[in-house]
Amino acid sequence: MIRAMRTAASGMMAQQTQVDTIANNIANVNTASFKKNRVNFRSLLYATLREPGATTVANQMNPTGLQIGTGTEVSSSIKLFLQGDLEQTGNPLDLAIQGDGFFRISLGNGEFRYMRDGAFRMDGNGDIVTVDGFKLEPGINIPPDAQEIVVAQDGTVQVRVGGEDLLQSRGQIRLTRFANPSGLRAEGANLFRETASSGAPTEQTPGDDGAGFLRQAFLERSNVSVVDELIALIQAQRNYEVNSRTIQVSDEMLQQVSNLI
Amino acid sequence: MNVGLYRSAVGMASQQRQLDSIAANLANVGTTGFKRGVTAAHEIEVQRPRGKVRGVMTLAEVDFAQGNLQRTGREHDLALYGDGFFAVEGPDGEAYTRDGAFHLTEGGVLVTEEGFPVAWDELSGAIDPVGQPLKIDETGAVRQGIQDIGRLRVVDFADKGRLTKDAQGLWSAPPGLQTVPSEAHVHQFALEESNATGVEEMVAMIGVQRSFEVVARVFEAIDQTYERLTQPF
Repeated sequence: MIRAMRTAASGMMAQQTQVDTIANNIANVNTASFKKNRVNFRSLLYATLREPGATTVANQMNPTGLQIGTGTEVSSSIKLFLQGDLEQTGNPLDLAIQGDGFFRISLGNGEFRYMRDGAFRMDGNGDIVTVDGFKLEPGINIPPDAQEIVVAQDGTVQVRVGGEDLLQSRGQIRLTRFANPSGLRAEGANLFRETASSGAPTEQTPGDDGAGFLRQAFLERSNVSVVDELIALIQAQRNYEVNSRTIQVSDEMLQQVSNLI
Repeated sequence: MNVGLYRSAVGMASQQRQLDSIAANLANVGTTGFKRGVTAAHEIEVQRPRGKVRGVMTLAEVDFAQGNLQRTGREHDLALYGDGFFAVEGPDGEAYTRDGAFHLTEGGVLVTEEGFPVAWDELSGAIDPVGQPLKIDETGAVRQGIQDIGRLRVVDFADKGRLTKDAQGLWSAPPGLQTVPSEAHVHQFALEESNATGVEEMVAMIGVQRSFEVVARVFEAIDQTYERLTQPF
């Protein structure tokens, strides 16, 4: 009975983690380029009370044995890097990645972070920076007298200066890809950090060999679907409920035993 | 002492185990690829020097019924539809799982959530970790772009009852258990949900609780008989 109680408690804790994750997903339904989280569960150790194939008291081979599980645990939480919807904003420095890849951001201290949020701005020097002021890497500089900025799908940045007819090239925005993006470490503020399990960053030209294209004047929305999250929330709540019922039933049965004497 | 007293105690112990099993099923209603345990009490006869004694034995089986497939849209999520298992290279040789939430490592190796490499039949190429997305068809054949990578090893067993769950939550086969070709279809972008459902387990739990109550009453009744016997007239 005590085992059943602990087993149910593990189920309740797992569902609690599930609800925490769903809450974070729903809270970020309006965060540009947010990628929803998913928690994975796995069953806990099995208690083998009788080996399959063991001889029973009646001198017969036992066909199945008796293995009873002891509950569940959260095995991992991963980010689902599924494409979010693209929304047109009209701002020439809003860049959305359609497909796989990240922008590389320099923190200014020699470290780099990666993000898919392409809401870029220009700082006082004309450098392209994130909303938080971190520079895009490799850096692109826009001259102060630029009248028009054109970012092609392959990341080429061109500007029209003064009254010139021809566009002037200012460099190319590159995308970074990882073997296992789910292994990246989310650091808040839409930034991701490379880890041993994400693999080393590979820089690519947008659109080349599996890398995504850039779309100017678009932003990628969060890939959270509120309906899906609400369904998952209801499921988690019900699962929590049935597990708490197990504890109640175990308790009632224990009570019955203690009443016998 | 009255044999009935012991027998009712054994009955209660059996129901306790059944509740343990139901609790494990309920705790795992959200576990990908989980297969529910089913317990049943069987009456057995045991030969003793002074005649036969009847008792209760609890048997546990695993219900390998198909779980619902849930579409996730994630490239490395695979679900099996039909009888079979993904073979993986576990810590003690080949192990088996129905949980197809795989990951691709930096070296282009497809691994399980715990990091065990997925086993292949006919591995003919290497996966480029930053190349084109993988395309996996119903037979488990994996392609990347136009390149054939190989076929995932999906196997089945004639006698699944002899599989045991190991510490990693993987199924392992006892020595001598033969694998047979699997008829299962592989579905990419989906995961198999647990086949334990809240409703079914709750119903079973109510049954166990009521049976427990009845046996406890029997125990009480016998106990009361003794009480009367031992009381002075």
